Amino acid sequence: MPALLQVVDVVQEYPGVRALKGVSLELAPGQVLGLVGENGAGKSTLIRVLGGIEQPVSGSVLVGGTERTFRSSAESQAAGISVVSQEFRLVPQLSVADNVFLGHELTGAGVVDRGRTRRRTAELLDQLGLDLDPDRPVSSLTVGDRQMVEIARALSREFDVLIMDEPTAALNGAETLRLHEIVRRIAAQGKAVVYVSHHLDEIFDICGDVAVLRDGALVAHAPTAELDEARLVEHMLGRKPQTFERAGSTSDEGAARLEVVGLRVPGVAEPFDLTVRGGEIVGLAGLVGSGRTELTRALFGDLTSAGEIRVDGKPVRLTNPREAVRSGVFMLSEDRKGEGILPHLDVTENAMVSRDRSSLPLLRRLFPVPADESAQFSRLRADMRIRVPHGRQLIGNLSGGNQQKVLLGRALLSGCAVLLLNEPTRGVDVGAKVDIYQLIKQLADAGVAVVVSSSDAPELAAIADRCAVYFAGRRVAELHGRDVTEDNIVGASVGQTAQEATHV
Amino acid sequence: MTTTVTTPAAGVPSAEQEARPGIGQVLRQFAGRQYLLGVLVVACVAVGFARPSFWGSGNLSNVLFQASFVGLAACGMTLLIAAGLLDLSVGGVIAVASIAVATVLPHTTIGTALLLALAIGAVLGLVNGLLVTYVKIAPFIATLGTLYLFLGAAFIWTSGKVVPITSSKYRSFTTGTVGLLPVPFLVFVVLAVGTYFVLQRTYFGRTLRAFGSNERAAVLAGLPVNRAKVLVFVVAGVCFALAGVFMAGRLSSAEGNMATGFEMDVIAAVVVGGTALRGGRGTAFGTVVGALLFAVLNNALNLLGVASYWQYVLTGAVLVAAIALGARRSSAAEVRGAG
Repeated sequence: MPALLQVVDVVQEYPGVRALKGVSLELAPGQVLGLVGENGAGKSTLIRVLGGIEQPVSGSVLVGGTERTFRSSAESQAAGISVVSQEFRLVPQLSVADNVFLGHELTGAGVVDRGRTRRRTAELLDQLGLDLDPDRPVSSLTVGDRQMVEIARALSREFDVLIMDEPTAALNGAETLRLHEIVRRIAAQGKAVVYVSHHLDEIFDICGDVAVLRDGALVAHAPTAELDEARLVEHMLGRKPQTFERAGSTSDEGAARLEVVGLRVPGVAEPFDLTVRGGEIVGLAGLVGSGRTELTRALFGDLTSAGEIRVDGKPVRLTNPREAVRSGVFMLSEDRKGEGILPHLDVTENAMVSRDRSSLPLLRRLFPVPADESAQFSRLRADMRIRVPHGRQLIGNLSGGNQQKVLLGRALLSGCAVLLLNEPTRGVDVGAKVDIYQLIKQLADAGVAVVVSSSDAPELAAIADRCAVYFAGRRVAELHGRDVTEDNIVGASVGQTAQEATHV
Repeated sequence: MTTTVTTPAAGVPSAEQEARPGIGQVLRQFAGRQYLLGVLVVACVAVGFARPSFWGSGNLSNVLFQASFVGLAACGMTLLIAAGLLDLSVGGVIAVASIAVATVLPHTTIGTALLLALAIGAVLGLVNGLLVTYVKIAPFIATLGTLYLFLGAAFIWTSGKVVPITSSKYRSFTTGTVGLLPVPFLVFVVLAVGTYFVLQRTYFGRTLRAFGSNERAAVLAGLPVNRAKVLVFVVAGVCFALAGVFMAGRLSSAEGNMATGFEMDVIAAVVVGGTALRGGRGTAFGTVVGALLFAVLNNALNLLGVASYWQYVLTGAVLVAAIALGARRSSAAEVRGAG
């Protein structure tokens, strides 16, 4: 069978990084190929090359046996490659239908044929099992629906090869299943699909073959039937996966570092009470919109609230983040790119910005001393296993996991008593996830009171000593010790109250 | 379909050594970044060939004077732009500060007059800073408004007349030279070094670059963003006033119109020098080169006898070309999300 798409020895380089070190792949008609690898392994780079967004340094791409060079995404589309990108490329002000046919509008006599556009869009949405008005502006859609529109857009083009980059990241269970159905149907039509996902169960579900990238090289390529999840993870990491063991010792004797009494937060139905001792990791669980994000923001002074907050026994008034940091509270936002990293600054400066300078010698308190700071950063890099060639590297060039480690370093250096974390491992790959759990645990062991707000139930089950579950602004359950399990958290977050948990 | 499972290489992820950029790499990077300096040198040599009078000491000091006025103000502007801010009220600040100097000079010492000018610069900068930071008006609009306010104040104060500077001591101080170098140029160099130090080697400068890069993240990191914003406008106001002090000396007078349109020269010098208009990064050295480049260009066009309308065209073309080239170069090394 002739290959639909061949990638031959493709090399791509960025300043200081070899993102792809000679990758070769082949796609046959009807094949669904899973593409996996840690963040930074080169998956997105490969997709950008195939999508015509980047031109490789060397190597070639063959479509149906003939060599092609894509100078733009339009040329790649013309060759029959359709890409569902990880980042949305929708125009929020335009309608669903206009977005689906953006760039290849259905025209009659040079004018956009609105009726036909709407009908075709309705057909596509129907195929996706989506009940959406094609005239609605994209800005009014939920993230999941936007993702589906993005997929509809890819399907609206003529294509032989469909590339999907983490299409299910924003989808719920039912939507994911529907998408899998569509992928199978596309394959059955003799087209080829490249499916990128961090969820390995999806890979085993729908992919016939799987290719593993690590550090820019193809390290494995095999039918999924010959692999199991453990083997796959081993290929991705290049080593046996570490498992994170929660130390059973939940010390009850630590002093309360954070006490919150009757905190009223706009958007949260009930006043909020919470006590966290030093060394304790408390989870806040609940669906998006349950109010837990607002709580962490209020505790960081980023949202106005009324009520009593004590840090280390001292009452504090938190009206802005700066005061919060000075009172010993530190927060990391779930939006790392928008609210965490300072992209033009190097990793050292990013780690140092919040450093507590009160106990430093006078000179270092007044001026940053480069030698001192790079020594500090070297220590952080070793302790936190931050993978970065040198301290002058811009933080924007790192993978999500490494950026998060730098930000945890920032929190550590702030000398905070209370650390509030929002979705600490969102967009972080398997390997770095365990590292980050260990770092959080280390911070707690050093006496910090840690609050982790997360929508990832297995995550909370893995690290939290205690977990409060929120539903629509109310605390519906508080789980302790052994009761902090994935099932209990998920059960309580959807409002199910028949739990063997302690109710509050 | 072939089925090959290549076994992963030895399990340990590559050891990460203390990989510092080597000296050679640093030099190459410097050379790569300072293409503008190369352009400046080439321009000087070329003009020198065409018109040897370019290298005459009188002409050179003329060029340096011009570069200094723009450059002094551009130092303050570099800090602002690195912080993602902007100040269009340069011409107004210069006018008010210079008129104050010219008015008080007959009655006080030079030192007092200078201090007064700088204090006025600081106060006017404070006005800008408070408007931007606490009234939350976008810098572009806020300082456009204060430009007219300051200019209006200057015209009302002088009734639109030129205020002469009669103190010959003041004139000889501000237009004097040390060796071949004019006093204002020396002050400019010192100020540029200070700007570099503030931007790269102080917590204040780091805060500026931090909120220039991502304001929301800087706030959440607990940095004193508001305080730094007000302060940087004050510092910039002082720099503008300093430029005004020397301009008034060179002109032997002060008036409301003495620096109208000057803000654009200043911003152009900063941006051509390589400071990103969107904030996050600033280069004091680039600003020095940028200021010199424009002064050399203007001088060269005059020496070559280019008609004044065509001078505008050529200056504009150089500005656009330099920025386009800079954008091309920096986009190659721009922050990108890792694959």
